[in-house]
Order: sequence, then structure tokens, then C-alpha cells
Amino acid sequence: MELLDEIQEVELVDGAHQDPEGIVLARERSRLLDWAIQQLPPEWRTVFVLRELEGLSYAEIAEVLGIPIGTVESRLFRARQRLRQLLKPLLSDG
Amino acid sequence: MCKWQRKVSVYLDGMLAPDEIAAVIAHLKVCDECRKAMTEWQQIRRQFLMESLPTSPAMIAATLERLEREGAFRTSNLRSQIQRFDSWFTRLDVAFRAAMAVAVLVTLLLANSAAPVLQARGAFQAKIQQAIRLIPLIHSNESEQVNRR
Repeated sequence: MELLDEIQEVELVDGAHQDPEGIVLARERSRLLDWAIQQLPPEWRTVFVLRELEGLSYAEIAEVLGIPIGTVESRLFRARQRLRQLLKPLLSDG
Repeated sequence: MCKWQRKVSVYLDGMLAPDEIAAVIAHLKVCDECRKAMTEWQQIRRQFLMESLPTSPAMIAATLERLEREGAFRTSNLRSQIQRFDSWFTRLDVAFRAAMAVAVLVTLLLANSAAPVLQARGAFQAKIQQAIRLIPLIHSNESEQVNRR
């Protein structure tokens, strides 16, 4: 089962992406992000989503998941490190 | 890997203790590895935010339920928190609606109970008006009788 199966993709509609090539690139980026997040272990994935997409604080994440704040820090750090490797094509230098 | 990277990750989220912030900032000035890591984490964050993945409390709860079934961890804390919030909000909503219904009922009852009083007053006023109209006739009768005497 994939974490983001039920999340609807939102097309970015702005000047840069209205052309077909832009739309294709946006879709590819979306697929890559989707794929990358699926590669994370569920425990890391959940903490990452709650922090990066929902903006919960470490304390809030720790409370809702019933884990120590140190564990939240650790899982988030590992998730970020893994995503750095998986999303290399999207990352630019500097 | 630089041993400061985990602290840099916490710094990125603004969750670092105040007495550690200055040390991390000073370290970032001299460590290319940590600076690169922080830049890439920021880019990753922007990428995910640009996707504008829609989420909702219900969606998060459903997602965590699936994770629990997958055996990732127990999510009963989150589910119970969401359920407590839902039930609290539902109770508040029901209480508000009940209060509104009571207010309407009281208003109707007051209006209904006032009706007989208003009607009685109206009837009393009508009698007074009638009596006032009869006064000239009464006096004219009296004067006729006096004249006849």
C-alpha cells in the first residue's frame, strides 16, 4: 500500500507550466517525489509528512505518535538524509 | 558525515534550544558539508510544498490507520486525539443548536403567554373607549330628565 495513494495530484497552473513540456516535467517531478517518499520506512515517512506538509512541531508529533521528541528528531533526520539521496535529480548545487 | 548535521536538521525546523543556535550558525559558516545538507533539505521541503498535496485531518487519520495495519506502529494515540476533538466539537455543535432551539421555544412561549394578557388589555381599552362614547348620551339623558322636572 502506498502512503499517498489517495492524495489527489494538484496540477500547478502558472505561466511556466502551462506549456505541454512544463506539464510533463511537473508530472515527472510529482512522480519522483511520490516514489521517493514511498521508499522511506513508514515510521520515517509519517514523521516527515507531519513535519514538512502539516507543519506540526516536534512536541506535537511526539504527542500524537506517542514517541519521544528525540525519536522524532532522529526519524526526521534519517528521512531527510535518505531523500537527499533519492531526489538527487531534483536538487541543484548551491 | 559531520557530527553537527543532526543539530543542523533541528535548526532547520526552528526547534533548537536558544543556547545552541549561535553555535550552529557559527558552524554552518565553516562547514561546507553541513551547509550543503541544509540547502538540499530546504530544496526538498520546497519541492514537496510546491506539490501542494492536499491533506486533511480525515486523510491523515486514514493514512495512519493504514500504517498501523501495515504494522508500522500504533496510531491509537492520534486516532483517539482526533476522535476526542471530533466528539468535543460535535458536543459543542449540538449544545449550540440546543441552546438556539431553547431560545426560540422560550420566545414562542413568552409570546403565546402574553397573548391573553394583550387580548385582555385590548378588550379593556375597547370598553373604555365605548364608555367614553356613551358619556355625552348619558349626560344628555340626565339633562332631559332634569328639564322634565
